[in-house]
Parts: sequence; structure tokens; C-alpha cells
Amino acid sequence: MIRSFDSLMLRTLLAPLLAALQLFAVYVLLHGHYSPGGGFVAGILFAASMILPRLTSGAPRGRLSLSPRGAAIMAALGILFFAAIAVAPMLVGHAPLDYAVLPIGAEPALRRSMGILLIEVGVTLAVAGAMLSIFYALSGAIGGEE
Amino acid sequence: VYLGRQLVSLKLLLATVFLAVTSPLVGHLLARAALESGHEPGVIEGSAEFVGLPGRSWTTTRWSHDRLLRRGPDAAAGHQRAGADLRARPVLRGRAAVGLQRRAGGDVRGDGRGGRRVHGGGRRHECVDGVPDGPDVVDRADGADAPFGAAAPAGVTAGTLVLGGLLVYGVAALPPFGDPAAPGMVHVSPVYIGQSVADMATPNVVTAVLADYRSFDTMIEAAVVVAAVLACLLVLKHRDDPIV
Repeated sequence: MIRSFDSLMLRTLLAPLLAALQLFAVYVLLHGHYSPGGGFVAGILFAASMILPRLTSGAPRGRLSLSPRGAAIMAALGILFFAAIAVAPMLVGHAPLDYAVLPIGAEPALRRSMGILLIEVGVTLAVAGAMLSIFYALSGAIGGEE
Repeated sequence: VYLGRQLVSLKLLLATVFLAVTSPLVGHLLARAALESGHEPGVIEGSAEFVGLPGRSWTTTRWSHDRLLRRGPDAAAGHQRAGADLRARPVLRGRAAVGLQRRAGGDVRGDGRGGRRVHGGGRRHECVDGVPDGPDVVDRADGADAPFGAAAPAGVTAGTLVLGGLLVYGVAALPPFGDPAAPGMVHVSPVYIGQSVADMATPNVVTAVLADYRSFDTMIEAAVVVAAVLACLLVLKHRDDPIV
């Protein structure tokens, strides 16, 4: 059973740490085109920024948080978003996941670049929701007892 | 609408939907079958509740009994008075089960605690049944309910050995690791490395491969992650799971 605990160090450092984690998650997500990173890593970081405050009882208020149900829904929505982008080109007569036909850029290469970013967003949501769900399941929050 | 040659795209998408629906279910059913066979899940602290399995629903863990004892001897004795041996009875749901439990007397082999939580017209209920020294799964209606009989372990072992041998044999035909003359290195890699910037304005070739050249694979990967998590939720859920 995972229990929250109070720690002066954690409580003091949590707010800047969470801000940095979420900022870094966005950076990793957006910078996946140019450096190691992408949706999977960003999703893990994003989930970590929501799991960490649940481990300390003195977490700052106003932080980002999701219920167990919300986490599962976010994971499913990520996959749904990905699948929608996969199917969209098929509706106008092209191969699935052919981002070049999506109206999101000036020229085909840029449209594909934007398409990559979009599916990475879907992957981020899916992975973050999945990690949060695992945490909730293992910590007993789903059982609602202790 | 593009559907691919011989509807390949449509088939793949349908297969994806099928897998996304079935894999959590299969994981859940496997875990339930293991529990019925007497394998206790080690990670769950508390009792597992499984509704809808006639005749074999009352499972217990040592933990629930210990927790009961911690609440004090009075509580334990009270529960013992109210507890009934439902182990040989079919599972009833909601109020009926509790009523049956209250009425039934005698043959209290352990400290039974019948609690319930009824939601939505008695669809769910709960019964925590602590047995100090009995077997963990006490309501086996018959001893011979192994689904595949005694031949299963030998068959599974033989099948695993044959399939594994075939795979090991197949590895011998693969090109050596890192061989520059391998087909993948000759035909695939140069295109990826040389074309990724021109094709999708993405200098990171890994991202280009992951999210464009082979993005269908990535989509299934992410779906597998979510499916596995859903299976975990179904297996690990305790009593009043609001998700499922």
C-alpha cells in the first residue's frame, strides 16, 4: 500500500519541481523532432508531475490533478485522438496516417512534421493516463479504502 | 475513401479495435481463472470480490481476517455470530445474499464477516470472509474443475519446446547483428536516413521513423499500453471501483 508522507524537503521543493517537470514534459514533447524525446517520454514526465504530489501530504494546492476515472479517460482519449488522425486521411482518399493531406501546414514536409507532433500529443495523453492509472491501481485509490 | 489494396487498411483497423477490446478482457479472465485455481493475487491487500461466478465466489485473504481481529474482539465475535457459511451455496447478489447469510446458522468454521454494498438496485455486493486456518479458496464445488485436465502441463511444455526450437532454428537464417549487407541496411535504412528531412522536415530520424514511417506500429504500441493498463485496472480493482 502506497501511503503519502510529509517531508519538509519534499514539501518545499515540490512546487518548483512540479513546474519544472511539466515544463520539461512540454519541451520534450515539442522538441522530439530535433532531439531524443517524444510522446512516450513526455507522457511519463507528465504523469510523474501528477503522481509526485500524491505521495506527499503537504502538496501545494492548485496543482494539476486527475481522478482515477479521469486518468483512464485521458488514456483512452489519447488513443482515440491518435486513431482519428490515422483515419482522417483515409476519408479523403489517401493512405492512413498520411499527414501530408491534413490541412495543417504550407507544404507536405511541414504538414508531416505537424502530423508527427499531433500524434505525439495523442501518445503523451495515452501514456500519462496509463501511468496514472497504474499508480492509482497499485496505491489502492481505486479500491477507495486506506 | 482509401481502404487499401484488398481492404488491408480496413482489416488492420478492425483488428486493432478487436485487440483493444479483447486484450483487457482476456487478461482479466486469465487472472480470474488463476484465482479460481487457488492462486491468490499477491498484490491485493484485502479481499477479492468476484460477482457472478456461481458457487465459487467467496474468496478470502489472511489480511481481511487480521484486519477484522484488529478491530477488537467484540467486533470479531459479532461478526462470527452473524457470519454464515455460504461456501457451499450459490452466489446471490445484493440483499438476498445478506439475508441468507443472516439467516443461516451453524457450521461457522471461521470468523465470517458479511458486509455489503449495494449499488444501483443491488447489482453489487461484497462479502469479506476471513478464515484463520482454512484454505484460501474454500468453496470449490468439486475438485476436478481443472479446465484442461492433467495433460495440460505436458502438452504446454511440449508445445513451448517445439515452438521455441523453431524460433531458435529460424534465428540461424538471420543476418548477423549489425551486418551492413543485411537487407534492412541496404534497402531501408538509407531511405530513412536520407529522406527524413526532405519528407517531413524532421532532423531526428528516430522520431521520423517512429512517428511517420512506422507510425501505424506506434499507434498499436500506444494502444497496447492502454490495453494493458485497462487489464491491470480490471484485475486490481477492489470493491467499489468507479471506473468499471
